Amino acid sequence: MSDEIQSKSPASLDALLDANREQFDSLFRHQMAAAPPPIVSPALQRRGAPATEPAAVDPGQVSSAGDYVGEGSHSAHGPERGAGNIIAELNRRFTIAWSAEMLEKQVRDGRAVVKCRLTVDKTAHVESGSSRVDDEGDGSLAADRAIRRAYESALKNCALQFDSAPASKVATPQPVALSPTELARRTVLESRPLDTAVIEQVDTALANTRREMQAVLRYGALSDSLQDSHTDMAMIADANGKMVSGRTGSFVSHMLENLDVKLGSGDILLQSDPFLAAGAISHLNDWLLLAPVVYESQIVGYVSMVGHMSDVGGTVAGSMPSDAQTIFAEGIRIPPTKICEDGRLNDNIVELVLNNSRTPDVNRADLMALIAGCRAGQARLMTLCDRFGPILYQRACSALLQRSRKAVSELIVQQVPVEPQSFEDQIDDDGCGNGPFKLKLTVWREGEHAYFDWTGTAGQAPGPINLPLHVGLAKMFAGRHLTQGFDSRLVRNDGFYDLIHITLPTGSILNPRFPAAVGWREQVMCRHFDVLAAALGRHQPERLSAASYGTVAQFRFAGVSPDGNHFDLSESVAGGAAGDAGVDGRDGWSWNPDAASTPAELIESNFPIVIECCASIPNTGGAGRNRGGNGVEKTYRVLQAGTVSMHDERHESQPWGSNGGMAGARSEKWLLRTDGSRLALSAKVNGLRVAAGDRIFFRTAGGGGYGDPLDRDPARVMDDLGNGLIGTQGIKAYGVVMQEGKMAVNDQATRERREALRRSRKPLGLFDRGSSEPG
Amino acid sequence: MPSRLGIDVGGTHTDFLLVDDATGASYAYKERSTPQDPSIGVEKGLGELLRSCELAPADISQVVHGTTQPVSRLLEASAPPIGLLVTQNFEQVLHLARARDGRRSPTQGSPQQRSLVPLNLTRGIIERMSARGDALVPLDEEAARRSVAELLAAGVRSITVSLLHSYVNPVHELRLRALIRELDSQISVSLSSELSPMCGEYERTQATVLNASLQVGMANYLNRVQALLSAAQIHSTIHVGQSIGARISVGEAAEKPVNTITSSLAAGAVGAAWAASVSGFSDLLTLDMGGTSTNIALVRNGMPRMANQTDISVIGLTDPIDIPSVDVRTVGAGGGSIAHAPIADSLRVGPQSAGAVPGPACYGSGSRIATVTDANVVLGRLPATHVKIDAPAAHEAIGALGRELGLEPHRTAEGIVNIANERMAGALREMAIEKGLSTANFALVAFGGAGPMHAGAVADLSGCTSIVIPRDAGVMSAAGVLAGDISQQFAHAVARTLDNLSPAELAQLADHLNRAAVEWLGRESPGQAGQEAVQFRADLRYQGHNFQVSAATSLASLTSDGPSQLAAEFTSAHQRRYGVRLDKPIELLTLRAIASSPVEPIRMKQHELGGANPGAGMIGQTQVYFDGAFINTTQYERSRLGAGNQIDGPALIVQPDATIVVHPGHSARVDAYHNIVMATAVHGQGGAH
Repeated sequence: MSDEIQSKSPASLDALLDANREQFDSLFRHQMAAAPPPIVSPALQRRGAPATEPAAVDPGQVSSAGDYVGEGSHSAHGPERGAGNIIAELNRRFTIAWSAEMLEKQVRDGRAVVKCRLTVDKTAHVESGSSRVDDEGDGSLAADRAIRRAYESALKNCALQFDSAPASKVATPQPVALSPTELARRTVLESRPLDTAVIEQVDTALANTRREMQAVLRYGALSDSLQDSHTDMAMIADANGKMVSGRTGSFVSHMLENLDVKLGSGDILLQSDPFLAAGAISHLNDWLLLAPVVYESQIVGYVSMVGHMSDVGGTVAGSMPSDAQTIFAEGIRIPPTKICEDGRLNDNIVELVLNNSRTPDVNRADLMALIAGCRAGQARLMTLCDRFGPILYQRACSALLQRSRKAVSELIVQQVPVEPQSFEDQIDDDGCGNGPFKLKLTVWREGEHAYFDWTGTAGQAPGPINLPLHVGLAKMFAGRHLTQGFDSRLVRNDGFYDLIHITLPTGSILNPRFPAAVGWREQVMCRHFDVLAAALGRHQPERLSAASYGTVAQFRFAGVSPDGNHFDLSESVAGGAAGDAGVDGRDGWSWNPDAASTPAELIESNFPIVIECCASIPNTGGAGRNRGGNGVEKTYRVLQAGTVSMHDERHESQPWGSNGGMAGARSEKWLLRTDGSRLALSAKVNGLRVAAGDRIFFRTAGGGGYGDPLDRDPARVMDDLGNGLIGTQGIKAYGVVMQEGKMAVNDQATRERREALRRSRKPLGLFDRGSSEPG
Repeated sequence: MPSRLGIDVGGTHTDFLLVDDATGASYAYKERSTPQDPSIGVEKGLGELLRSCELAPADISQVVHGTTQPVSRLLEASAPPIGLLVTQNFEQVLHLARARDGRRSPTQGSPQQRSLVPLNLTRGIIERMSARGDALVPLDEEAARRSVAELLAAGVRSITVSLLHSYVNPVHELRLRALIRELDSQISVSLSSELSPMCGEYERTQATVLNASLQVGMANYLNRVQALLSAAQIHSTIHVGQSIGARISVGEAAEKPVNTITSSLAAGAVGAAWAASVSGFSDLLTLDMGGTSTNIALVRNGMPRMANQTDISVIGLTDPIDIPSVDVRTVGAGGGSIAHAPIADSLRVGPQSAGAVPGPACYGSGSRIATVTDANVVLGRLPATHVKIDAPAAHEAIGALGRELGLEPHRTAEGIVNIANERMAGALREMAIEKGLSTANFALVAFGGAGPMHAGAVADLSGCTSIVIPRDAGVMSAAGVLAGDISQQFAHAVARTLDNLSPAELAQLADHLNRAAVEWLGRESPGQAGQEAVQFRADLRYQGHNFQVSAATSLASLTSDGPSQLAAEFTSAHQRRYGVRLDKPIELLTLRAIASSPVEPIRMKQHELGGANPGAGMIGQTQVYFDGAFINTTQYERSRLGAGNQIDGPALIVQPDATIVVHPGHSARVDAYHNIVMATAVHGQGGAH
């Protein structure tokens, strides 16, 4: 075991590299071989470990260009080396002669400051740059290195001035000069027509790239949630920042607009502030990495990864206090920050950020895995540019965007009504004693443009349930809903964004003002989908499934064992799925597609608790031609004192049924103390003190039913009865009459009963909200 | 001289491989499968095989059978009803399963997974064990008798008992078995604590019930196979392949059919590892491309990568069970995958397959469905040398799709093949990368009907630089069942943190597993039993974390100071991987004893290396479409090529059950074992294509 790799290791990627020569190495070396400057931690260089020089261009190309400009006779490692590279790069990009000259240099107070002049076509700009002198090794070499960095920085600053220069002064960027063979190959590639076959192949390759990014993340990550992540954490955007493959929506251009620095090929941004992320992330636990993909000096796209961190500080472990009143209670807020700059990991930022977490080691590994995932994505996209040529590749990306736009425009005309249709539903409470909160959506279309107006939605909550949705993500969700059942691959990208218009009232629960608390935004996210489906469903009822239990129901039990160890059990409880036109809703279904229920045996092996019951509750799924799934009852008996927190919904309102189906049952929770006293609990419970022997009953909501219950095949009703999934009360809604003393249907009596019920009842509406019809 | 016979029943074909131990020569044969009774196809094919070779049936010393297809049929057949006894208040353990469906839409319905035992044949038993094996609630025997009587009255012929924490303390399960036997001495009883003593009530119950529902059918099927082998004058021992790629006796297979569910898939990987090893490759990605889908696996140091679970989607059940298996992944792209244009000029391949019926258009069944196979026909990559090909039908089907998309037919066909290749390559890369491995260090071993045709392009895309097309590429699973050792895993959940586990407890458990393993070896492989034939592994993790280390350990280590040795082992493995040591308790999830008895390896016949000139195998010139244009391509007959022959692409090498496409820039050589080894172009290295 190497002594170098202790938990307090100063650098991280290098620790990983060192830690696992055999496997990790081969992977990441391979991933990075084709990529721009590898990420090198200064700490790694300090230790003398082999590292690739983060050269901006291939040295071979520099010498062939033959024009090392700058102050003459320094060795390749002298202070001006970097300038040569930059000049060579500029010459390659703009195919005109650039020259540079260092005007002043000084080292004072540990900083090197350099002023230089950059000249092209008789125009010159003078700028300064500076860099800190690192305190490693020989002082004069360190000063040289600092001067070199300062010179590079000064030259970049000069070059930036030219960006805004008149067009006549700066030539149009040209592709890099290519070798004759490569030029020939490229010409053949790019003479190929951009047909469906190419577009489709690029689309498949983009999807593969994202899978690969996620595979790298799973391999390198240390936290449970990231190791198991098969959900789409990876995003690929084109050079304009439009998402060409992913699920997070386009946030790149918005993020870059608000950034006063430019992203270069070795830069990677880290950010976690939902108020600056354009919907890509919606609470502080999610860290977002964004990296440009630079191919032959041109940005051809961006890659991004998002990962949920175990802990980012704040008032409670896990950083999601359910009583937070502002985002400041929820942990460290990272604005867009270069976590890697010019191929170097910014160790200071890494340490600053990790110092704010209760789980720095886990976050460190997760962060490095996210970075590695981005690097893998960069490398693969560059390979795609090699394969298809950068021009054809980018044209294929544009075509994918256009194709998605075309398909969505057709679906809008089919599915969105011309006359505005509204729907409203509610969130019980914010866990801080406030609520309910209304969500209201009105949809309509004008031509091929669809409008989603959330005006009428409740103002932001004092508690942490606010969802900073952002217009971009709302468009993605709307597009995804429209294409559901047609071709989900069409909304991997956001080419259709201009067809969808979203109104999210500022200061509402869907677009809260800073510094709203947002940790538990998931409940509003769930309900927002229900409302979206319902508002559109008025126009196309046959496509409208009922509402599911529509929440992420959480149970948490924490405390300290007699031996002094902290324990903290957290699990999610399933609920009823919705009935739809095709099938019954599943009894005990997880809204989160990746969240499996935890075995009782595993929980009991690890925590002082006994799960006395885990079963779906008969009659809680709404009756219907296809019934709703039953909610689940879990009974917990705690074996030690501790605190219990729960987060659930549909405690006040019921999941609605559709097309004649009935609403699902509400959720319910109570505490039964050892003295026999019973305490009813609300939807959300924070830090409830429990004593050994206390029982907590957690019952989630059922799903709504679909279609007229009187149309349900009586044999299916009997099956459910025989299997204990509905009770004798439950069969009344179906008008089924059984034979005397037998578990069999009396056909004649059933027909008569159903006819009578049809005659006497009120006409069925499109929605049934049970007894929770809003006033 | 003795010979050995491998048989594998697949969905469309039943494969045979007969190997002559004296010479290493092999005889392969493929027969159409007969799904309604798989033994019919076995019988017919066996007859044909024996007629076509000079080996005497009486000389066959071993028969090994892979049975994935028969097993999946067994579940569809009406098995006698099974009753299930579980802990009270957990009656819905199978009904609820694990709640997850992997579906991506929050606003659509989600159907229930079907249960192997209906709720009305499930009874809750009043009893409760704690996680430490203490009886929190004693077994209510009176109530239990009533429940059993109800099930018997309902006509069940088999009862499965799966109580909470029975893997820690099985006493209630054992008592229930006695009670059931008192009421009906004939009935078959399965205990979850015996079949799969693992932590996780759903997986353990599902595995036990699944096993019970397969037992009778498996025994009957294997009896038929034994009878037909006897009738063919084959009187050898018969073994059955398992999902872990190793074989067991017929008796053991009939007892524990749940261990054989993915035997054919596992055998493909084992066979590929065996075949490629003689050509000098031990790190492999395997590509088994068949009609409906493609199976991929990863082999390191000659050993297929294992999973602790078995994916039983092959028999239509979504949640995996805790039975170990070779980690084989399925990609929904096969020769029969349908190319279609669902919306907005998009060209999609799969996931639907034309299957055996109606099949691809080129099979001449009157189908007009454009498939990947049809695209290969249009590109000239599937000549009608050995198989009947209706090329006009393929052109018609592909042409029609192309017109819909405004694409010229060859461009359409190339697009279809490219997309299928891209999908397979992506899955291969993912499989390596998620384990921190680079595909560049792996050889691609391609087999199955369509594997050799796609291997070159898939290798380029995935970054593999070597390709092996084994001699017996058409019948790789039949080869794989023969190549597997006699082996079995004995796993037992511990699910305790090491600081909570005394050395004595661990030693006792290790002893228990060791006795079971040694006894099994004595039964399955008399004469081979010995301490050295049992290896131990421990699955460890930080409590609450996912990352598991399966640490190799030994009986000696486990019975001296087991917990602290395991802790040291885990800590160092974790540190190697992540560079950190966490301040968390380490949990021992499962202890595993692996009993194995190697079988005499099959030797492949080694040929004298001849000249490089492949002229003798040349059978003509044809036009094949590569990268946008038809190119003059030489066609070779594989059986006429000699060891040492070298072929530069473009070329087609045909054999009765497959066609090998040698791409321009690639080169192929026939090695001394008649494997074909291809090298991709230098610029194809490192996943650049």
